[in-house]
Amino acid sequence: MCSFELITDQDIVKSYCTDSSNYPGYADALVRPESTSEVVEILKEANSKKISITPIGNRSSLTGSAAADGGWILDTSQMTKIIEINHKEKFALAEPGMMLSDFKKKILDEGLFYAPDPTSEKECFFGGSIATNASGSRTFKYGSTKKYVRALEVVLASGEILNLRRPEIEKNTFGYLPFQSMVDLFVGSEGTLGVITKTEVELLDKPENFFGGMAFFKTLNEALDFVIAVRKELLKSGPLITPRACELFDNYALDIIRPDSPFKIPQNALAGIFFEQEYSLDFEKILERWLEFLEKNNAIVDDTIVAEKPKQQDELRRLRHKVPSTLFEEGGLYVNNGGGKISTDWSVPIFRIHEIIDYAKKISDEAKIQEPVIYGHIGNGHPHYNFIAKNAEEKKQILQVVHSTCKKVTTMGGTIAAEHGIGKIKKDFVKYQYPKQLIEAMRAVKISLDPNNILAPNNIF
Amino acid sequence: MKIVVLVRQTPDTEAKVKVNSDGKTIDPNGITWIINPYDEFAIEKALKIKEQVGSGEVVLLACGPTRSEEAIRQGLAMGADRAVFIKDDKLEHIDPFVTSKFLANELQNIEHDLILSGKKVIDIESSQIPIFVAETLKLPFVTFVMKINEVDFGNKKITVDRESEGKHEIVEAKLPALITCDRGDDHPRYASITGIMKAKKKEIKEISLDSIDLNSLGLSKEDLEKGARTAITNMELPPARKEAKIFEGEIPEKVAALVKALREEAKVI
Repeated sequence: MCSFELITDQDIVKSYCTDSSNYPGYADALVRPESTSEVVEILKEANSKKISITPIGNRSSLTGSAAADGGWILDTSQMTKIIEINHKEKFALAEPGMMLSDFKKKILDEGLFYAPDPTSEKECFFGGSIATNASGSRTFKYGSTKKYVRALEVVLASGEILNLRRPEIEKNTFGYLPFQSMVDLFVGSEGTLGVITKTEVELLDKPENFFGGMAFFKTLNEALDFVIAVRKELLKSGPLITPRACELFDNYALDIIRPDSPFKIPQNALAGIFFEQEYSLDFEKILERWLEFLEKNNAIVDDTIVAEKPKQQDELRRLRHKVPSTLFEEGGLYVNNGGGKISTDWSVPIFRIHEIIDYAKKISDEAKIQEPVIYGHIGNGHPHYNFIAKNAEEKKQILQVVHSTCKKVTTMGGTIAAEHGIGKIKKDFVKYQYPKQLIEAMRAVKISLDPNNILAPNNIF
Repeated sequence: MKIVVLVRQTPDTEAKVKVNSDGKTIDPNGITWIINPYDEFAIEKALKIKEQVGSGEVVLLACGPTRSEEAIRQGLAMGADRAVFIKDDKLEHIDPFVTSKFLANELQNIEHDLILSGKKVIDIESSQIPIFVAETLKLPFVTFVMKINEVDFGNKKITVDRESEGKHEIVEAKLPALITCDRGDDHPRYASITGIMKAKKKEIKEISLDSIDLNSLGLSKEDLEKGARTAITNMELPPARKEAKIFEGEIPEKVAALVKALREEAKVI
């Protein structure tokens, strides 16, 4: 007899089976623990019966990592407490089930700032963002989620609880380096190693002010040159121009936002860069420097807009979000034909961005497939390079192009999965990034922590 | 063609308002100040008229404390040509009547074919100021205008579309007139980076309070502090919403408990 409620009504369970990737998941039951001790009980029961457990957040995954492949779904939505916000030591300790945007707002209301900002922050849970090492547009300045995770409470498949803390010592020669901070082992592990039940994250002082901006360029290449120049400027010119976000819109992405845009997008613009800049003093001096910089780097300066007011800043971010949501909807129209949206998640060192985009374009042209929509985190060398396949045949051709591109990015010091993770639908790309011995070593770690392979089966491996 | 737009600085709509210990004013600390959103619609409409006509001047007119200059600069960055600012920190809490007296007085020194303003100011939820201004200057006025259909400066007339009680009215007025603006289809333009830089160099003519003869406007010094016609005697935040009550148990038990609570606690049945 279980001491927790096991929901087996398929009318309910089915609605929890897939995520934003549309991966066709299935499960026998759903559990909704309210505490760490309930998670322990559930895992002990499941482990003893070798029942799979897929821990889920709000299922905004684009790779099927939150879509169950059988067994039980462990829904974290009932664990919503912020246990502590510590102003003196600047950290927050929280359970996984709160919407990330709500968590960030609570922190902001307390005069502090939690930096990670995945585009889906209004659709994803705090815990999900930890389990996937989420990043977003402000990663350009602040880095990804892992940088902010100080400590974790994790329940292993056996039901044992691990309390892990990032080491604060600078010197340590014991153990393999990747194991020296066990926190990093679990951040981004996509539910495969344990269920994260509490996370302590570092908070920052709330930035005094910031403004958003959108600059337009006559060619995509000019926009890319601009981003490379921002990086060089960042390295050389000191603290004045320090954008926290640097996001690309190619001409197709501009076409998506044009109808709703509250500002004029010039007809001759074939690319746009959305940026955000924090400041405390010298707003005009910073703006002057930006203007000079934009002029020098071929932006259409008279049409470069600045969003100073909170409402405008929100509008800009909403416009940015409109690109993936529109593509998601459009792709959905072709799923029944065997097509759909095919998104890439590769990134390269920013200085090689021209090279990889030229390569991707060349092989797309050769394959005679529809042109992609290129947008997103260009400041991190991480554009989303997305296709819409209208049918199964197109999908096959596009996937061949994506495979070739992923192969290429790994030869350039890049990655095949900068922020979406591997989940269940990107496993075919794993082989390009690491030697098989390394992948086997990762799998061995997984099996040593979860010998019955009950946790998030089919994620990553 | 000269258009004057009345502008006022208000707290951002998202600002968390705190009442000062005097119980009559709000605590300005931590507030983000913006142009009154309806005044922004008026600026947008004015700039569109100027663009359609192809010439002319858009002048902003504000009356308020020093901080209001930021709102004026934002309006200039949107594209207004210059501004006149009746500036004094003593103007922080003046009532709509006094504000309108100062604005109307200054409007006599600014050439204008048309005066636009927001349909209301969102800080004190008042629509009185522009109406008082129009009355003082004996100008025709049309309120709550969604759209400016036509401005015929040659024949000195304007046609506008106003919304009221579920209907649209097309109203024609003689120029000069005062129009209070609602949003309509307009979206206030974002300032461009060059617009903001240019705004730094645009003229803001400051009018000091000392240069105004209060007696000639029928006002006294006390009117600046206490309000000439109206005064806020008490200000408080709305009561916090009570937590919802969730009834546990089977449906018949829940219904019984709900009925009991509606009868005995809420006393609504």
